[in-house]
Amino acid sequence: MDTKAMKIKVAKLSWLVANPYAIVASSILTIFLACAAFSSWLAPYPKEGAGAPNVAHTLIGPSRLHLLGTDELGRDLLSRIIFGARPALLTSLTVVGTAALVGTLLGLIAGFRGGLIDAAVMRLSELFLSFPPLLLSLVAVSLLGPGLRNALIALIVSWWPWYARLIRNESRSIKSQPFVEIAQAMGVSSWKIMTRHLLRNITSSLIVQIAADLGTVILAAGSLAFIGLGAQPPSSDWGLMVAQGRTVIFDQWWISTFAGLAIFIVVLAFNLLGDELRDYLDPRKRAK
Amino acid sequence: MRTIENLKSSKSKLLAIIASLALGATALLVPQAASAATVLKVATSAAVTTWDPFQSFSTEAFYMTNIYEPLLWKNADGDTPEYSPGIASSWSSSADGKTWTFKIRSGATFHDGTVVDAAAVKASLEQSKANGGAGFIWDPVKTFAAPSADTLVMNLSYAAPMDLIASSTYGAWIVSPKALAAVLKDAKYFESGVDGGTGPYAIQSYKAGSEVVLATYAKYWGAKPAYGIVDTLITSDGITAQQMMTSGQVDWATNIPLTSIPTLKKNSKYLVKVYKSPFNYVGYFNTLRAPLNNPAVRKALSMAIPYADIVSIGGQGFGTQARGPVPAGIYPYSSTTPQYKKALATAKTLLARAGVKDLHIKITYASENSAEARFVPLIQSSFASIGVTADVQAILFNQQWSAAKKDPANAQDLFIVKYWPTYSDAGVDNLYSLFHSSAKPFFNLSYWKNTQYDSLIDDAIVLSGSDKAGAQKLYSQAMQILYDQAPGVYLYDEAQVSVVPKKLSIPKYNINYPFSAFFAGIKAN
Repeated sequence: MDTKAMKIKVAKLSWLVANPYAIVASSILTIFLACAAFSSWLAPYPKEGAGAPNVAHTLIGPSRLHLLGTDELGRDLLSRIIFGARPALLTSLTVVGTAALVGTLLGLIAGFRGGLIDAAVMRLSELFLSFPPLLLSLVAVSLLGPGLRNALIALIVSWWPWYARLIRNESRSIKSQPFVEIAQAMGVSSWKIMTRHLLRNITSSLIVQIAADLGTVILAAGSLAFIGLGAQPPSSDWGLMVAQGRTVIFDQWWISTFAGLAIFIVVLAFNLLGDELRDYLDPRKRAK
Repeated sequence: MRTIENLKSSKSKLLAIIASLALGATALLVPQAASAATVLKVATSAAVTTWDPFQSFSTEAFYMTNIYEPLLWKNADGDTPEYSPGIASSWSSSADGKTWTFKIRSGATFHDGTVVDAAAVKASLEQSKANGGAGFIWDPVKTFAAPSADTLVMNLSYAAPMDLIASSTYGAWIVSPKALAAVLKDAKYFESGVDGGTGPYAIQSYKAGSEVVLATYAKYWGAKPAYGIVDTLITSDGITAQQMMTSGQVDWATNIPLTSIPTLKKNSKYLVKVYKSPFNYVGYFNTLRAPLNNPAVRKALSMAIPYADIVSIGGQGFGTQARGPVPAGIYPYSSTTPQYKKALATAKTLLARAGVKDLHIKITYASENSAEARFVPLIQSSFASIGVTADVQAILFNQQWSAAKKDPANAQDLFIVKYWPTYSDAGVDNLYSLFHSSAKPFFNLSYWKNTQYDSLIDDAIVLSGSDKAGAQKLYSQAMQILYDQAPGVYLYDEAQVSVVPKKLSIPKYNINYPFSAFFAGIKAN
């Protein structure tokens, strides 16, 4: 390893050590990712985690056998929560990934081309942005029907304009920089300018936005499942678990509480990571 | 003198103060006591899909039974006599059961002041038959006639139990001729919350989706209700309704979740009462598609259903395993109709004999039904244990129903439904609607065709007007075919669970009016 690479690595490590929030967030998300990847090995009752009922053990409170208790169908809640990590992560990655891809592409074209294309893309995104994201998702799911697939479509529909707007504004300001003008004068193709010059300089903003949205989407998907429009039983969705536990909340508090805590902790971790990344990727703050 | 005058003056002042205080106290106390005694606050999930009594075919029946009256009322399960007079004070039928005569009550008036007579009743029933949401219930009637002001005659094309039909919870309300004329001019006449009934209550105000206020009708012919005002708050969420009742925000909540019953049973302020209901859970097998077109396969799957767990988890213990699609307590229920029992080994053997391996099926259920959400995973899990993989889809009932009707060949394999009869005859409704063949599927969503079954049901329907016992025999034979051929799986009869605050005296649940509460009979204890 050369000295320069070593210096960069040390700098990164010292930033991480100096930011306990980043350590906490990274640790939580590592556990979350492990649960998503190895749920069958980590869950104490994998069959119940996958949805198999155990009618002999319905609504048992937290105990040594069932650390977080059991639900209405007798399924171990800890196993259900571990199994719920995968759909939560997949939902979040699918929605944010697709919305970022669509939004970035449209935003780049609009920002670089300007004129009529810019106006059309921006008016369209403003149309979507004029509705609160969850309300727009609700309307879309009401039209398409409840279910995880339709909830994903609905969330993508309400999320892409944020990316289109962000990327368009950033690319507009970078487009007027001398190095872009020189590249254009040298006859570099538009696609290369967009990907090599504009996109590369926007990447840090994009990463911060994605990190922040990953948590927000988990919350939104959970909200849709909670009101019966998102994931459907017997899916091990956390929002669905909160909703199912709600009907017995006066006596069996643990179902909604622990499922809600799972959402809270993961969303908090994503938000903390987003904040820390923003500070790290901002050269002015990093210099300080 | 001065002193005496002063004294007199002081005395009179004192008396005046005491009198004003007493009056003030009376003014403060009496109206509050009166209003507390006369306003009944109720939380209910009953939404109003229409205020039109002719079109009503849904949960607004909760209010309709207080605003409108039919010719007769069918009394609660086990009560005698079987019927009570409504708008008709007496009734009789000819020996062949094809002519029914109803004497119209004298002294009854509609809420708009019009006197109730046979002509008004005839016009109302003709409108129900021609354009009503449940107009088909009057199919046996050839003509309605009003030979005198107090006599209504129904001439039938075949003998039918018109006492039962005339007491239906849908399609049998007697409506004012003025309201009838108004709705014929403007189809949305009723929708702002006006009524044309004769019942003990009239609509005072209506806020769509949130509140219905009923006030007593001063000229009602019957006994005056104890509560002058009934303020119903539409609260679809059962847990919220429960909180409203336990916190004293409402006097009574009609939609307490079954999961809360054990807690409320322990609460000394409430009584939990359990009744038979007309609600029955059925699953239709798609008999058009292989291998479900083979009765042996359908029988095998019927033996893989965990009936006891479904009642225990889905119905929270409030129900019993069904004997066919006719709910217990509703004609022509028969306690001798056989039931399938869970027998996984036999089910596996039957599937193997039928040459079925690695069967994949699609189960659909109504996402808005919490009991189905609880018990469908139990079916899925039990099927898995005999090597049948079930994909479960929870979709809104209307979407589930549309998809099932649209393309039977590519529709679901097992359709779970909660069904109840339009009026208290599950022969004419459940047995006919669910399993009688039809050119286009409507509620026959197993798409099953059996000529022997069809002819038994057709004959029983005609016979039920003149020979109920004879019709019962035919219905029982038909139900035996349903067991043998298993076009559907008969899950459980749901019980009606009412949580009654001890401070109130509430009439017992009437299975014949399953969505209704009779406010006129509610009193404070």
